[in-house]
Amino acid sequence: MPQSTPESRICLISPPTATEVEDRELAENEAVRLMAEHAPIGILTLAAVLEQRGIAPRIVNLNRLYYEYLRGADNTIDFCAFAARRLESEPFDVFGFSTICSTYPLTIRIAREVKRAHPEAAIVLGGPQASVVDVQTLRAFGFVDFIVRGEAEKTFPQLLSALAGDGRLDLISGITFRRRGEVIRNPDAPVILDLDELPMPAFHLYPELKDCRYVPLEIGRGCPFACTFCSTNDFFRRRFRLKSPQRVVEQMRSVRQVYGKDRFELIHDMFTVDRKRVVAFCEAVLACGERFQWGCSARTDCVDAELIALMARAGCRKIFFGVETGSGRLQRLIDKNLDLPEAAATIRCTDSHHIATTVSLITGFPDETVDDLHETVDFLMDSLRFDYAEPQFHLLAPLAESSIHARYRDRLALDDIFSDMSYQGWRQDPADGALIASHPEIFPNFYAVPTPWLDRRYVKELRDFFLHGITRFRWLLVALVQHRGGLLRVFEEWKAWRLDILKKGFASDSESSIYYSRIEFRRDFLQFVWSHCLATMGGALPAVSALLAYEASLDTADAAVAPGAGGLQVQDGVPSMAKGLHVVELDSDYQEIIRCLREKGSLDQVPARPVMVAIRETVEKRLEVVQLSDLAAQILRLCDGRRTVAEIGDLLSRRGEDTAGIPPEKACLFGLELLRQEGLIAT
Amino acid sequence: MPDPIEVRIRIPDNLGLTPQQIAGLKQKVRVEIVASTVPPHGFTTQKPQQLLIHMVEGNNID
Repeated sequence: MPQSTPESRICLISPPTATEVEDRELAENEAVRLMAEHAPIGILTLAAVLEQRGIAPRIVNLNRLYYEYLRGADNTIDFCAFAARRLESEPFDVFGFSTICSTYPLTIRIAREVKRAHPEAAIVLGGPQASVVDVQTLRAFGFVDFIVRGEAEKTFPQLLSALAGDGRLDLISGITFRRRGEVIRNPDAPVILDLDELPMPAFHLYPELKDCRYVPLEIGRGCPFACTFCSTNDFFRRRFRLKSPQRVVEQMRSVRQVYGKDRFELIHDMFTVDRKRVVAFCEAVLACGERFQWGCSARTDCVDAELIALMARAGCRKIFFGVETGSGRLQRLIDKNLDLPEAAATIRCTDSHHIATTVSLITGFPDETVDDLHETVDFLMDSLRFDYAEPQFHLLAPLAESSIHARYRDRLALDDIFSDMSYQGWRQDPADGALIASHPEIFPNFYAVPTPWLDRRYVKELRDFFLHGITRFRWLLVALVQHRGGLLRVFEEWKAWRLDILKKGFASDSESSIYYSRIEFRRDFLQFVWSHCLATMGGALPAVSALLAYEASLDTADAAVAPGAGGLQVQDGVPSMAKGLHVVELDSDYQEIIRCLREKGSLDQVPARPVMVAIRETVEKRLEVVQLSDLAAQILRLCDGRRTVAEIGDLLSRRGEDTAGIPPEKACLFGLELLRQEGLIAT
Repeated sequence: MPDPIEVRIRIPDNLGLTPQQIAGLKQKVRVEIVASTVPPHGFTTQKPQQLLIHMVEGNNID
């Protein structure tokens, strides 16, 4: 074992996330890149602690390495070998790997290669996954020397001192190690009570921060709740702690000053437990005189309308709500105990403040029945009626040492249907698969708990159908589900049609996922609606036809987008539609259709009349659908990039458009100015 | 649902419209927000990890 001194070379390695996605085209996707740019706050905080002690650690970002690997020319080795070669290139004395469940197999494999190259170096694992499977990991993998369990800011420096000959391993709380072949598990270390003691994360060691769209900052630790599917308590314990508002605001201001970033993800499993302290934080943000945007995690029963309003004023733009299940029965069984009507009202409230609200639900609980599943998807569908709600639908992963895992650890099944908590790609590395198959106690999140009342393959396909459906044709799906009386009915009707008419079945779960993620699914589904559903829509036919026409128009969007040349200049300008604007003409009142769907009203009464709808992207990168009044539509149609303002006014006048008794040329100028200010015509 | 937008037009001074005429025109020339959604790429907070809703081929407004 090496002697570690302040001069020791310490390498801290972030847990990879992008590596879950082996497929190059997926890895380059925006969603994966966003996931990958998340700064590794755990090891950056640890690095800052080491710097206070005169140790200058090196940070290795495996996500960045992964993209280098993908974009590089050398495809003769796998990523594990690639990463190991990079890590091997410098003789560090200690390699500290942060671990998460989804990429734990890869981390283990890289650690093995590093140890092979540097047998004298210490391999230390930390983070949430290694902390809960510490003994099993040390027993299974002889190349792992130490595991630092739980919060590492005090424990890891003590371990380094002991490795340097200053201190005894058996006296360091919170580590698991091997002595003469025997695995020793020291008692847990106490949690850090005053989080203000922790230094600012060493962002200066993370050059990628300049490309990040937001900066994670830890605002607290410890969740007092004990949901059966969650393992967070094993890491942070149930002792709820928050940094002081002053400390967090000071860090936000500092990050802005140094890095020019003003968007933050405030990390805490459950920020809003203590209402008074949330209020104090919001007031501190408002009082600091600077404006920030931030997101957080909360429970729907730990916020109220007044608090949400205050949070919104203080810059809250995103909230993650883990609702988990739409079944009241399951709420009690999993010890989440949310009041579901109250949860729905809370989502409505955050939506009204334009706070992007993640509504996260899970299926695949061992006690879940088809009725429970119905209620869960109903809750998801209801949340779709709010523009700012972003539903998530997950498969349960039995996280190591969660209550569910403890109950079912002897009955886990490896069925190749992974939760997205465990894996997000299409194909899994065979070497990872072999490790998982050999060590269910170490990688239980890749396994399934028994679901006697649910077919997992059905549920997995339903999940793909829902998630890609709401991405591809949100309101059309809402309308169909409303008409048919439930998502499961639409899904089963669709599946039967696909098998019967298109003869498309799937040999594997992976094949199904690939299909649903591709544009082919959208095309097939629109054909399904057109050829199969419309005939049975009854009075809702005009409305659903309009929704279908809207969706179909998106496939030919390029043809409808006018060139962005020119600009509006009063009298002699030549206005044209704004670049990127997509315009579609429909036969039913689209605004009224959406209003009915939001209120679960009948689509039968939607007036059939021609309307113009335009889709534009806002500066916040939202897709905004607007409906134009008849006169606004008339004016926009004439903005073809050829006619001058005067000619448009003249045409309106000759057509005898109703301009409320105002001279048409003046009405035209008014309308053009409005359309320009709304971003519909080029300026 | 977001409130329908106000017609927040700045009226060119030289149009010479009366307040009544402007009010009438605002009724005739309207652009109202029907829906506003975010493409599924915005960051979400905390666990579970971000969903991989991949738009491999994407439609044209992605």
